[in-house]
Amino acid sequence: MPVFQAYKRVIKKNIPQLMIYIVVFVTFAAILMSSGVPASIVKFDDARARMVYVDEDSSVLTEGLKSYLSRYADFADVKHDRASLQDALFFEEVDYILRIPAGFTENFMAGRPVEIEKTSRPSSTSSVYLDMNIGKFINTARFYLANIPGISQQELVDRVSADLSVETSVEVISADINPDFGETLSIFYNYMSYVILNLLILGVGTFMLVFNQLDLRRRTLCSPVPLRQQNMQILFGNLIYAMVCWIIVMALGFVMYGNAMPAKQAVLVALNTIVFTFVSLSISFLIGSTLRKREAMSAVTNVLSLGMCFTGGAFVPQYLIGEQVLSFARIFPTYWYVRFNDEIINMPNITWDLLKPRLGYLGMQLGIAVAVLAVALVIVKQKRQAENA
Amino acid sequence: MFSHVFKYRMKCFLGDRVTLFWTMIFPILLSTLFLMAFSNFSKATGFTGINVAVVDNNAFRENKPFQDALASVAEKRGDEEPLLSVRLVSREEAEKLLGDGEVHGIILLDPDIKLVVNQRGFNQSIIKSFLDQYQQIRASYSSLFQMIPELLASRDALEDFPVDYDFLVEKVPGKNETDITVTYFYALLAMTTLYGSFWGIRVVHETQADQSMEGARVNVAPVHKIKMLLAGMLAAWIIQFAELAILVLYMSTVLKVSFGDQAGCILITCLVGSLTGITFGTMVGGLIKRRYGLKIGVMLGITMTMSGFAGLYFASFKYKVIKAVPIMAYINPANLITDALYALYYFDTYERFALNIALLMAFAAVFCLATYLSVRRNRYAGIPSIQESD
Repeated sequence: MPVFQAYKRVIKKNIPQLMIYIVVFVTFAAILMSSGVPASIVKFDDARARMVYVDEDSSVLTEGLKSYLSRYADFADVKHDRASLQDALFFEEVDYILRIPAGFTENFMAGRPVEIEKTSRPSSTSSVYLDMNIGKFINTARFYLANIPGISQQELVDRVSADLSVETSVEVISADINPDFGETLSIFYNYMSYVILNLLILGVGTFMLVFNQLDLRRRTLCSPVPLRQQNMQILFGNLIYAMVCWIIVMALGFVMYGNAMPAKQAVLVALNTIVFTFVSLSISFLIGSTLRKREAMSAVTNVLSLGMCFTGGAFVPQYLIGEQVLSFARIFPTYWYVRFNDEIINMPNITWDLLKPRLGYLGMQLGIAVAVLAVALVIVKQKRQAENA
Repeated sequence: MFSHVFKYRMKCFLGDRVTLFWTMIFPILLSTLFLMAFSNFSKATGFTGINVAVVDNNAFRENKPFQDALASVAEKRGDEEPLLSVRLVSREEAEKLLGDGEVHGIILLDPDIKLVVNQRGFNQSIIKSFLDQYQQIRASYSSLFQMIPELLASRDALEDFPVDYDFLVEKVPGKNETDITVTYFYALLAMTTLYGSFWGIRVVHETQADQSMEGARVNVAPVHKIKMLLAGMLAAWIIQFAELAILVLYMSTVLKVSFGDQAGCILITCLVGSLTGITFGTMVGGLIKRRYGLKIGVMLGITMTMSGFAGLYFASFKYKVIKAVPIMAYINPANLITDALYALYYFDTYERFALNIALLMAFAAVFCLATYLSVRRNRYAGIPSIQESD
C-alpha cells in the first residue's frame, strides 16, 4: 500500500504542528479541572457572592453586619485602595463592594438618616441578592431602634441576628448531575470540536496538499497502482487518521472526566464526537482538494474553524450568543454538535422520548457532512478533467 | 538612497498578501466573531426577574398576609424588573414547570412555608431570602411584643417595620460601565499590535545575507546596512500603524466596542504599540539565525502566550495572572497594551495609562538594542546556500 505509506510519512512529519493543538487542549482542560469536581447536591446552601467589606467605622453594629453577611458572601482578599477595588469589580473577582463610612454607627443609633455606599456591576443578580440581605439586617435594626429607645448596640445585634436566623426549609428534588459540573463537562466537550476540526484539517489537508502537487499527481497517475486503488488507500488513510484523532481526544476526556459522567451520557457524547469527526473529515477533504498553497491553507483553517466554533457556541456557551447569530450558525455542524452535548450532559434522566428529538442533531451533522463531501467530489472530478485537458 | 529603499520596501510590503491577511484581515474577522459570541452577554448575565410557581392550595388561599407580601415583590419597581414573576398553579403543574426549567423554584404552603428547587444558585437563593424575610419580620414583631407587651395594645405607638432601602447608595465604579467583554477586544488589539513582528521578522530576514537571497543581494549594494534596516522598519511601522488604526476604527464604528472617548490617546497606544511589535519581530529575526519558519513559530508562540495572559482567551485571566505574579503587569507587552486601553476606558486619571505607554517605549528601546547588537558588523566568509522556500 504505497499511497497509504506515504500518508503515514506526511502525518509523521507534521506531528509537532499537530501536537500544539493537543497540548493547548490538555492545558486548557487541566485549568478547567483545577476548579474541582464538586459532589452532587443533596442539601441546599445559600448562594454566595464575592464581596469586599470596607468598614471605616468598626463598631459592634458593623461587625455584627459583617458576620451576618458571611452567610451570603465570601469576603475577597483585595486591597482597599480605589484602583484595586475598581480592577477587582471589573474583572469579576468580586461582585459587590460595600463601604461603611466613618460615623455611620453614631448617626444610625441616634436615628439620623444614614448612607452605606455600594458598588456593583449594573443590574446583576448577585447584587440584587446582597441588596436584599443587607436590607434585611438594617431594616430589622431600624425596627428595634425605633420601638425600643435606648437599646444598646450589642443587644441590637443579638436581637437582629436571632430574628434573621429563622430559615425557610428547602426541599431539593432530582439533582442527579450537578449543574456546575455539567457546565464544566459541556465546556470541555464543546471545546473539543475545535481541536478535532483543526487536527483533521491540518492532517488531511496537508497530506492532500502534498499529494496533489501537479508533478507528484502526474507521477502517481502513471504508476501501476490503479486509480481506484489509490483512492481507496487515501480513503483508508483518512479514516484511520480520523479514528486515531478521535481516540486520542476521547482518551483525554476519559482520563480527565471518566467517572464524572453517567454511562449513558458518556456513550451518547462519544457518539456525537464521532459523528462530528466524520463531518470534520469531509470538510478537511474539501479544503484539501480545493487549496494549493500552505499559506492559504493555514489562513482558511483558522478562519473556518474559529468562525464555526465561535458562532456555534464551542467557546462561549450558546445562551450567551444572540438569536440571530445562532440561527445563522445552524448551517455549521458545530452548532448541532454543541447543542447535542449541552442538552444531553445536562439531562438528569435520559429516556427514549427525550432522546428522540435530539437524534435529529446528529442527523443534521451527517447531512452537512454528505453535502460537503458531494461538493468536494464534484470539485475533484472537475479538477481531474481540467488536468487531463 | 534612504527614500529609495523606503519606497521599495513599502511597495514590497503592500504586496505581501499573506502578512496583510494575518495583521489586518484576520483580526477584523476575529473581532467580528467576538462580537457575535458576546451578542447576548449582558442579557444573559443581568438580572431579569425570577420565575416562581406558587402552589394554589387551601393553605395559600387562607394566608392573606403571605399573599400580600408576595404581591408586593411581584410588582414592578419603577423601571426595574419585578423581583419575582409569580404563577399560581397546582402542585403537579408546578413540578412540571420546575422540571422543564420554566421556573426557578416552587413555593409550597404545607402549611409551613417551604421552597422546592432542583438546583442552587442566586435565583433560588433570592426566593429563599424573600421567604426567610417574610418569616423573620413576623419573628421580629413577636419578639418585640414579648419584650414590650404594651405595644400590642396601643398600635399607635408602634413604629412599623421599614421596607425601603434608601440607605444603600449606589456608587459608580469607574468612568464607564464595568463590561468585561471589552477586555477581549483590547487583548485582540494587543495581539494584532504584536503581530507587527511579522513585518519585523521580514525586515531583518531580507537584509541579512545569510538568511535570504534578497539579503545577499542588498548586502553587496553600496548602502549602509543600518540605513537599510531603518528604512524597512519605518515602512513596516507606518503600515502596521495604519492597519491598527483601521482595526480600531472598525471596532469602534462597526462593532460599537466602547473605547472611552480619548481618540488621541488610543492612537498613541497604537503608534507606540506597533513600534514595540515591530522591534520585537526584528529582535526575534536577528537572534534566531536562518529558518524563517522557526522564527515565525517562536514569535507566534510568545505572542499568543502573552496575549493569553493579557486576557485574549479568558478576560478574567488578565486579572488572575497579575494577582498571582504582580510583575507580569509590567513585563508583558500585550498586557501593557490591553491595560493602557482599559485604563483609558475605566479610570479617571491618566497615570496608569502613562505608565503603560512609558514601559512600552522602554520595551521598544530594549528590542531595538538587541536587534542592533545581533545584526551589527556581520561579515560572511561565505554564505550557505539559501533555499527559496525555507
